Amino acid sequence: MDSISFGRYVNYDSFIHRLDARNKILLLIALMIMIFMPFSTWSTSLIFSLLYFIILMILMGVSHCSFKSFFKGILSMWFLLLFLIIMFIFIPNPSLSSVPLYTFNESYTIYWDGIYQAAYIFLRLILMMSLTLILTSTTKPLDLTYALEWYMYPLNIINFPSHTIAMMISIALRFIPTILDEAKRIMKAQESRGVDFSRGGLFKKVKAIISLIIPLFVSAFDRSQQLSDAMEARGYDPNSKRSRYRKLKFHLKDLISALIILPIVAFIMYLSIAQNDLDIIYTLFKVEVGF
Amino acid sequence: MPIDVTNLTYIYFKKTPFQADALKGVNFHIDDNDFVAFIGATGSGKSTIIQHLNGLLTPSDGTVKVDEFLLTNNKKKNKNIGKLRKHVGVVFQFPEYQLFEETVEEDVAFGPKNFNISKEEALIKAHKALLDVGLNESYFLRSPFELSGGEKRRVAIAGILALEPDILVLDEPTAGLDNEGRDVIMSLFEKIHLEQHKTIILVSHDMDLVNKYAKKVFVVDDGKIVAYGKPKDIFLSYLGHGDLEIPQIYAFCRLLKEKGIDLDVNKIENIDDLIDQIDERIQIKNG
Repeated sequence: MDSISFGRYVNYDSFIHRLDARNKILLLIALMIMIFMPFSTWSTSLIFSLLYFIILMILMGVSHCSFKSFFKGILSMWFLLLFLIIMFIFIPNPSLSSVPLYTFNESYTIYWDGIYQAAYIFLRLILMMSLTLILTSTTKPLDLTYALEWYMYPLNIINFPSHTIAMMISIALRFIPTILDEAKRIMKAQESRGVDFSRGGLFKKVKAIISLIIPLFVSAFDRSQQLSDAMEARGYDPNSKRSRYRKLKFHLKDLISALIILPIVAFIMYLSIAQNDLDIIYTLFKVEVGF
Repeated sequence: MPIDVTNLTYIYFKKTPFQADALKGVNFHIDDNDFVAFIGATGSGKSTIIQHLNGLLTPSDGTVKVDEFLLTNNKKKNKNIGKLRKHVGVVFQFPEYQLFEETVEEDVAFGPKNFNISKEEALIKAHKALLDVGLNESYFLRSPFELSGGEKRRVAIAGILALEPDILVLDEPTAGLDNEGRDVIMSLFEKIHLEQHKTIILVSHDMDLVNKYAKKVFVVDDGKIVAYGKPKDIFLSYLGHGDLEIPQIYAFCRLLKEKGIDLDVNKIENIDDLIDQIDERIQIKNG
């Protein structure tokens, strides 16, 4: 249950909740690009990532995201972290002016850079996670699909079925909780028949999962058939022009937030692309060179 | 196997924004060989109660004691839940959704096999359970997915019966069945109750069924048991006010009373009693 609640929409009334979904998607993409802009040295990249991290944590606090489920989500990625660390530390990267950390048998050297790199990549992953968490937990799934449909609208010129795809996404999102409930119900029913989902060897586990998956699929197919019948009975036609019950509106606060975030992103992109990032920062903030 | 439940409390989604108290200190006792019913509005906590009886849910507070099995809020101490599930069989609402094997007999034998019973023995138990629910040999090798709704439900119920539980818990066993299917299923449970001396715990919205089959009724409201006793006493005590749906025979008596015909409801337990009383009235009237 806890792992499932990660990223679920939580109904609060914060500034971020009230922003237009289209604006939030735009800003999300901009911020993602910003996070992925590299700097000339690992240390600068790390410092910037930590800066982003602090800002995103503040944003998460403002938008009432659950820090507990966020950190649980990170903890569940421990395997990925381990894999990254091992990979980056033990695969030599001699092209850089690396500082050796330790040498095995005077032939195999591991470098500090490997650790920086692993930490940097993991930090970026966390940043991406917190960004998407802010988006999905402050935006109703339906609004998100409307926003996606709005962005896909120009593709209609080349006969791209943007409405159908948006409808598919919104139906899929709508049925996630329903199917989860169904899965819980079937699990309980099978547990009553002696299935143990948590223990047992591989063969028993596979059998247990089969006893869950097959009934789940059967009922999901039933449900989709019923849904399509019900939609047709109410005259649904994907090709006809439809009106909207809920409309997305671009407010002044959307403009303000975009005007704050987009210049920052642009500035950081400029720093990164110009590759003289350090000089500018030193001159801007009069930072003493201490590295 | 007697059941003792003391101060049972259950909280859904504890320590989250969705926290909700489902049960608020439930106490009850069920004897051996009893046929009891839990009734109450949707969301009153009936299903939550029965899910504690075979350890699907762990109490947030209080204890559930089934024979020598004791369930408390300490998950580590609740061992033997697996064994408990062999003694307490739960048939969920719409149990036909739990079918998954290729043939009917294999699906029914799936439960016993989970309790380390050999395949041959499990199949013998499965055949017996299928015959008990009124499905003959011609069904054994068919796919459960090609059966009708009522037949599927009987296969699913056989899947629990094949475990040979001492206590059979039924959550809305007749939901979505027609009148005939309803009678077939309920008389099946009554037969099991009378012949095999199993305790039956029924959860139902169908007050006619509860009145007809249950010996004792627990009324659940807002996570608490607010009344219990014989069906007749319970329904008569609710006759005056509309908190609880009442069986048709009592509703009929109430309508008769509004029309000025006051029958002695205390003597009415089933439809035959009702007919007798009306018959008596007609004879008196005819002199």
